Amino acid sequence: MLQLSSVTKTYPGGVRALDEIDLAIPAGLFGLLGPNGAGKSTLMRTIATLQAPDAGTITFDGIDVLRDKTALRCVLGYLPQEFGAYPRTSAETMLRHFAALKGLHGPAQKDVVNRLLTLTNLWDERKRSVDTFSGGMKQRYGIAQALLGSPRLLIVDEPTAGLDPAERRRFQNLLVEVGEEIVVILSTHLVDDVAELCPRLAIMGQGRILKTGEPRQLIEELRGRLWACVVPRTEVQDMRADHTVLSCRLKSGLTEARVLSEQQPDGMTAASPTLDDVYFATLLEHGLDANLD
Amino acid sequence: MAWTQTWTERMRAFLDILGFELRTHLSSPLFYVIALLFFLLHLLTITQVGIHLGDNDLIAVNSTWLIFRTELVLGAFGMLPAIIFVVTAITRDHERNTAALFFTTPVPRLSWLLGRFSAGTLAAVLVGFAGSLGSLAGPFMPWVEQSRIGPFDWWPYAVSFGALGLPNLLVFCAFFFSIAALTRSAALSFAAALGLLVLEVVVNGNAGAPVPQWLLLADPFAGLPVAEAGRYWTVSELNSQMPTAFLLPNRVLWLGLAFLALALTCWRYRMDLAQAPFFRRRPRRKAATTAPPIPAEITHSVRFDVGATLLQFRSHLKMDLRCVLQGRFFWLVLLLGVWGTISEVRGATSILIGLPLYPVTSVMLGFFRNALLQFVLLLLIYYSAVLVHRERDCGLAEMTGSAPCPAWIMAASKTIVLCGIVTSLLLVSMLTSIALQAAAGYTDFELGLYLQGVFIYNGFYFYMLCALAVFVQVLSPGKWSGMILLLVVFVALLSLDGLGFEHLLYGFRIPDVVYSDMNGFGHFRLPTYTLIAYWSAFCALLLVLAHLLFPSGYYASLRERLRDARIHIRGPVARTSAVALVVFAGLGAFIFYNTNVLNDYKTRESNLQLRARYELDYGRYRNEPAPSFVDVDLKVELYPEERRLESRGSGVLRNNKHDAIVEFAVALDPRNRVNAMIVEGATPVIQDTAQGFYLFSLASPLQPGGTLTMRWDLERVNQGFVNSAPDNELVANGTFVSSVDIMPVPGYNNEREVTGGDRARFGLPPAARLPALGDPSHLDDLRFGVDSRSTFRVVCGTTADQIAVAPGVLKTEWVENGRRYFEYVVERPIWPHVSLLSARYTVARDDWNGVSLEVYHDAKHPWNVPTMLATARTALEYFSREFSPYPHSYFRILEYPRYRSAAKSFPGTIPYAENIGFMTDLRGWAQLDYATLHELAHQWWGEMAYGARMQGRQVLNETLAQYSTFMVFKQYADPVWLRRILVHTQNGYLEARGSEAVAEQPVLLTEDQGYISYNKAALALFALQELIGAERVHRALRSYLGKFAEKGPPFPTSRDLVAELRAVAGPEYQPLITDLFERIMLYDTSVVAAEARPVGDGYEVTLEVDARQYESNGTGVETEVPLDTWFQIAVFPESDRGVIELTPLYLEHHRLRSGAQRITVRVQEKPGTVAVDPFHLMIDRTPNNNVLNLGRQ
Repeated sequence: MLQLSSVTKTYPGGVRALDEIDLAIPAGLFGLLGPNGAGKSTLMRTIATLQAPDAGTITFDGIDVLRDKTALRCVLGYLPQEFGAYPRTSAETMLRHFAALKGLHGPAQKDVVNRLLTLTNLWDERKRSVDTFSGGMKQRYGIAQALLGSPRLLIVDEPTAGLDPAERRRFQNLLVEVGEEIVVILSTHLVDDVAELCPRLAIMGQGRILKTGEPRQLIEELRGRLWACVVPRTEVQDMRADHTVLSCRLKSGLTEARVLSEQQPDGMTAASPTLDDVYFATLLEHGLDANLD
Repeated sequence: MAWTQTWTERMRAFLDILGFELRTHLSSPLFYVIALLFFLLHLLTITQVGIHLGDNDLIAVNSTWLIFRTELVLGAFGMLPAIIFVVTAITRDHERNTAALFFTTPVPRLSWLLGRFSAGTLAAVLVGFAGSLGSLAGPFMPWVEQSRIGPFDWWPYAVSFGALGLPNLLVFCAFFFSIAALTRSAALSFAAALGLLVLEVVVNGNAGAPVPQWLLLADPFAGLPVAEAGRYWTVSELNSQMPTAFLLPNRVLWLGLAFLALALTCWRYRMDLAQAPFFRRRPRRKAATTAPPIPAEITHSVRFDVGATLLQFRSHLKMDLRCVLQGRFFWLVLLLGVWGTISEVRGATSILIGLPLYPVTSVMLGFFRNALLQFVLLLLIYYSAVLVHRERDCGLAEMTGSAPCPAWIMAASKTIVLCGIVTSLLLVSMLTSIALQAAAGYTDFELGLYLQGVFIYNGFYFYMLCALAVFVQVLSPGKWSGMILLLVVFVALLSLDGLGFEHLLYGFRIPDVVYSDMNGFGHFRLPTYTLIAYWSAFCALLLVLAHLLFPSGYYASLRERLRDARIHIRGPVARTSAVALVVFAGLGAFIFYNTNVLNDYKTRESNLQLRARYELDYGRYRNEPAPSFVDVDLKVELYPEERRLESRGSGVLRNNKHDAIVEFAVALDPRNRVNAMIVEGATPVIQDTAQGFYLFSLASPLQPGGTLTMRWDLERVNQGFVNSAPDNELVANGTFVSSVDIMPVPGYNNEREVTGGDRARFGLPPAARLPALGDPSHLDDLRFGVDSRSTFRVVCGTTADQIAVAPGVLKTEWVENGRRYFEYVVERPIWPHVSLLSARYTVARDDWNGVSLEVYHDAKHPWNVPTMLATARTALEYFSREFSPYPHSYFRILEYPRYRSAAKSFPGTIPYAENIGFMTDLRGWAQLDYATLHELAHQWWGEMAYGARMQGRQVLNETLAQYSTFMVFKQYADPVWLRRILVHTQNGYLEARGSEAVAEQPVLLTEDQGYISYNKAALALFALQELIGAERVHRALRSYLGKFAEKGPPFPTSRDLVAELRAVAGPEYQPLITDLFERIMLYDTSVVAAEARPVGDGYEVTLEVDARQYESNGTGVETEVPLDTWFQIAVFPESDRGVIELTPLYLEHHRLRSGAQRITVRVQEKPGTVAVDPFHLMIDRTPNNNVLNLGRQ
């Protein structure tokens, strides 16, 4: 169980990257949704002991993370949003180096690295230099690195951005397999990933946790309040003036507007709420409506 | 696609890119920092702060010479902005992944390439220009002495920038840009920079005189052409003329190469993301697809104990090592290190006449510091930045930061890898050195000595720099700023000593020491090991700080890291720091105790101040009469292991002047502790022990001819170690002291005065020059006012295993209390100045005509001893026959350690430094030892007859000694040896004229100007001898000896010698004698054309010779005067060897006059070359045109 309480970080210049974050995350996949600039990466880095918050506490399974960084690192796996590798170094060498850093040595080291290479389908490419990998292969290498040493807390930051559908599917399967017994935090701005994988989620914006809960339950809250209709693109602006437009989606070339309202507006039909709607509604609720078009 | 765009479109794109890039450069603080750095560097260098380029006060701070030299010396720094602005212009895109963005725009390839290049080059040029502005601002600085500022002229600054600074920058930018563009690697540009540096070192190191034309082209910085143009320039020329004579071909060549490099880049560079055009490798074979092994049960034990930590550390170390070993830069640097070592060793020759030295390990050790320091600094600047910032630059910082490894692994790993790099460089150099020894046939490698000298005495200093480099990089925000910061730190550290910050406690260096085969590391061992331990503790603290502040994880600001660091100070960190701090403070106290308490700490400046005070306080006693020794009885107890001696004795002083003496000064080297100093019948009025000045007032005046006795009891003690300038005379094995240093000497010691340009600072008037020639008040005056000879008896006690030697016959030798005693008594009165040496000697003996010949040498250096003995026999034979009988019954040569490199002459005794006489490789040389001849000649010229202290006195000692040396070579060796010596002699004179700090004098009036008495005058006398014959010249010398040898005052002057020469030369040679000895004459002869035609059974050769004569003044301003004198005309046979090695078919003196003349001679064989004055007897600044090859005209 990962507990965050009142975690705050202010960057010089007054920007509040984290504003009194309170979270309790049990074992299993936990989704952290939020637009770019919400503070997700800062939070991920803070939990991963790379950044120190100005205030607040973080504990994991009895470890006071802020005080005893090394203890957490022994059970941590972290896949950053952007990462690289030493030039002209093969995937196998890199993984063995990180295995050594994570306390794996000797034959155990070799076994684990081989297993992870197989698991992430990189066995055939293991001798190739990481800087020649395609995007998907690089992500697979990254998750292999994060899984070294059987972590009990796995943090993945924007892992599926840039993967093709098949790779994305594989990655998701991997996460599910791994995430049954350990705490996995999946930080992303892709609502679909969270919808498909996570039994619990939180929505974050402007450094604050805006909403937490289970997807099913959050979706139910919108049932009966969500309406949809097809509008020509030119009339969208007028639509906004009259109703609370959550999103405008393109469906087969036509624009479908989804509207939040207690009563059924004229010309609209009831729509079945999805996690997307929950997401946009939450953001709108807190006055953060970036790029809803 | 490029061709579809019009020229205007391409031009506009080019200008756009140029403008954008330039604005980016100019808006970066880095640009202004580097420009300021350059400005300051030039300013400080040209105004002689720190780096001293020209200590000659006659050379103005804004002289053309100094302007050019400053530009050259700092030229290498120009490579840095070239790399930073130009190389990053190309590699930036690939490092930051913006390449794809640019490459998909329709920008024309050449516009893009040349736009980037031009902007970077412009930025670099602006920085170089800032440097020139610094030079320009030099003369206006308040700390420059007015006397060193000449009339202001902006033209030389413009030429130096335009001909040196600007083209150099263009060449650097073009080369580095091309390499970076074609290889996509910044590291290789660094390697290219290093390569250029090494090329410059090699070219300049191998440039003996004369310099072959092609070598002038090879220097990329154009240092050699400038040096060559000004080689023989005098002070006035150095101040006003520009040394651009040989610059043009060099500049054309290098700019051409730069242009070619750029053209190659334009041709080959492609705007795509494929592999670098130069390194397209074959596609690697795919790894064999084997099925992965499926382990039965995954039981991984995750260990975090101490053993595991070491394994983590080992893995990290492996990664850092891969970074270094994978790069091509490292191997290139090792290669360049080898090359640099070879070049340094090959260029090292004996300082006497450029003979090679035996490749003894002690000699080889001397090269390591100099040869390697610059490579080490460059390697550290580059690799420390790359390694420390590596994780961040590769995008690995977050992954590595979230791994559970202790923080110290990072700092430790980087430091160890850096030390490893340094170690490999040292190892490679050492192996190269050994290989060179083996190649020369010398196999006594003394590996233990190598390891000590290379890794402890030099290596440790470099390891210290590694720790400092890591620390500086930890504080720097990024790779490039880290490099600049470290460069600044290194430059600052190296300048500390020159700026007057000389104390060992803060110098951050292990001073370079001299290893002597005789004395080993000797008294340098204690201070070196102490400093090593001291700085080790400091480096440990540095590394602890580096560890605490290491930028890990998400890159935090320095303030945040400082905050985090406080948390980490516990346990092992605190304990290590505490121990290091205690050791550091403790050793610091010990060092301070040694340098400041046991001994006196004086900076160079305060030393000069003390000497200035001596003159200010006591200068009025300079010309006051003092009595002279007529008998000395000296007893010395030598304790070599303790570096201590006791000096007791008495001397009889006699008043040889014409008036009574009421008071007189006594000088004593202040290093001595005075237990007692008594003058009979006198009381000490002044006793300034710090200055070593005493004034005794006599109870009753000492009448002319009267005597009194002086007694002394002194001690010279060396305790602990000093900050700098240790006592190298009193050592464990190889002590060599002069009697004047260990006993009181009557008179004021004018050699203690401050010399040259330093005088003005202390309020001293310009140095008193030697008394004018013929000044009657000084005809009875030698050194220290000595005016009579003295009998001398020395009893010296030393350890039982050493032999003590002083001039005189060894009367008795005995052992007492486990110590050995020697008694020497001189056979006839001598000048009261003797040498005292003591060491564990091996003695070689020989005999000539009843004279006992002895060579006392170290057992390790036997090679030249037979040659020395043979030379002594030959010279004694010749000198006794030509001049007068040898006055002693013994002749001794004694070896002493290489702390001082000289050979000195005492009565029948010559102390001879180990690295001059005993380690010179004479195998390829005539079987005559140059220095032995010279010093033996001094037994006549200097011992028997010594010039009065006035202008021209050195002629009577040094010139005659040199002349005698030439004559022995002429009589007993193949002519080629003497010819080489003559060429070397004239070159030495001409090169030295530019360093004249007062005014050049004609030979007769020379004021102890070595380049005149050792070189020019000797050449003049020899030229006269070639003309009128040795028989006549030696008759003059015998007559001179007859009048002055062993006689009292009045002592001889240069005029007496010249008068003797005039007496034996006929009337037609008198003008020549005047020209050679009483005026400063230079000649310019050349063979304009020549032809030969067969006549009878031989050939008739006709030469067109042009001859001119110039008279020079003291600063080198010349006016032409009519020429009417004799020159040798020579005809040589056909050969592809130089004329120096050939036997001439014809060699006679001809009388030449100003202008052109035709000379016809007859020879038997076919002539190949003709020459006028082929062997450099007459001073000629352009000797190359004296020789003309008939086939090649």
